[in-house]
Amino acid sequence: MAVELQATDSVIDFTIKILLLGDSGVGKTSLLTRFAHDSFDEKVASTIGVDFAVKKLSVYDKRVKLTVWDTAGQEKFRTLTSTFYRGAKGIILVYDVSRPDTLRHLEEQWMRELELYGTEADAVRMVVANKVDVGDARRVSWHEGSDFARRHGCLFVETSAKTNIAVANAFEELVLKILETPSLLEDAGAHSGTVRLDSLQSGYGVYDYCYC
Amino acid sequence: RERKWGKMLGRGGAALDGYRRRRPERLKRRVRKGIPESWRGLAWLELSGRSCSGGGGGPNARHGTYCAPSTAVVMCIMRDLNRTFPNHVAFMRRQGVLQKALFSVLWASAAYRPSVGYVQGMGFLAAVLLLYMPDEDAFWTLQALMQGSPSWPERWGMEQLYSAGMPGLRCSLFQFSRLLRDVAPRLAARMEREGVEPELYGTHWFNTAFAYTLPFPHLLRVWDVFVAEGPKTLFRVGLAVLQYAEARLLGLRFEGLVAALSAARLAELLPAEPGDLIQRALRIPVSRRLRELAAEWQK
Repeated sequence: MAVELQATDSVIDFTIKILLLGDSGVGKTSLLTRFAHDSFDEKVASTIGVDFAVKKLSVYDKRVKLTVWDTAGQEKFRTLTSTFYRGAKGIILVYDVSRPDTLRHLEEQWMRELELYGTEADAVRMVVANKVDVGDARRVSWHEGSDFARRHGCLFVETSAKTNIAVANAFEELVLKILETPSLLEDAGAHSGTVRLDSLQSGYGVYDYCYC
Repeated sequence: RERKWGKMLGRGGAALDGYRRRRPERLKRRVRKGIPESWRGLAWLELSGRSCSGGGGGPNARHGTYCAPSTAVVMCIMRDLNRTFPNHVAFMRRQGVLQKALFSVLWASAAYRPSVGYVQGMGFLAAVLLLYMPDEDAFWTLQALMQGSPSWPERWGMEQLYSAGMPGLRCSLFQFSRLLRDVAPRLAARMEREGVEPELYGTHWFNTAFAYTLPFPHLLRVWDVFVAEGPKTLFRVGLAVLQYAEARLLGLRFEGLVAALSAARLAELLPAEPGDLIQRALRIPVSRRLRELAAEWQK
């Protein structure tokens, strides 16, 4: 069910910053492109620095504007990307199921970065296992991924940006969880509108509407 | 113009050094007017001062004398081959001639300059060079850009942008934000208020010398000057772009600004004529301020 939305912020209840982290080449940009534009492009340039997309969602009766920050994955960029953590309410840690080292790096490097630079103690974290379309080339099982996520108190979703498996679900689940965390919403009200948290409990589920 | 350049370069580019010594101002003027397409490769090679950077050998000859880059570095280079100008016909094909050349130039560069290794962004520099010259020349020209050409007024090279912790890049972005206050004060104030720092849009301006984002007709004219005069050109071009687009950017909030300045859409902000961009850029003086700001950054 799609609903037209004016390209103005006046009807937005919350603006939420989400950060995509993970090694170079795990598919952060592709996940974002799939989510924001529902498309997939084999020919996408490496992200140098940072890129953005804005996506508006309706969750329960709330209109939420997500600003998703897609960062460069290469280790050399860490000192630069650390400045992007400020104010992020949702963190998506991405690995590639065909490259076990990318999951290991989530543990050894990205989690630590997050501890160091994250500014929101209650930020919701999600581990995304991307490229589940690879078939036999898969090297990381669902169990390994979900174990890792559970140990670190993260949500867990397996996705494929290429074949469009669970990408929207992943973002929606993350947003739901953020909306259920009152401390994250204190400064997220767009146009300082009154924030009614009570109405969050009655749910319609999540649906998507026009990307502007 | 073609003929002038042919004469100035001489056989195999051998005459350019002499010309530069005899007529530096005329050479500068001619470069700024744009190097003819047919001479561009040779001119870049000579202008970058690669002939001073050792010469001889080349990537293939050096396997014995330098340590091969680590597997992690090689994997990183390989993962980016398909992601460097992915829509350019010359680089599209997996394992195509230019992708292979790109690999060998980056591999050799990582071996030659282990302190830098491979940093995302370098591939775009190498790729632009490879469109105009064979891989060995591209390797040496890249090294000259990395090290800084002796003929550049500022004696620093792109290497500083890529070294560990990227101090050079962070300094450049700081300098850029301050220069913007001088050049377009209202826009600078607006962007600062909205939290749009150069880190959010300018990393690849410096890190790929605009190869990531400018359309080729503009990029090539920028590179003519960049190769001849060094990285200060990048500041001038970035400032000229923002100054030119100031009126259109002033009304925008955070999201509008980052969208308008994103790599995908920057082209919409440019003057249609590449020469117009160059002229605007060269009207902005930066050298003295860059030195002052670098000193300020050190503190």
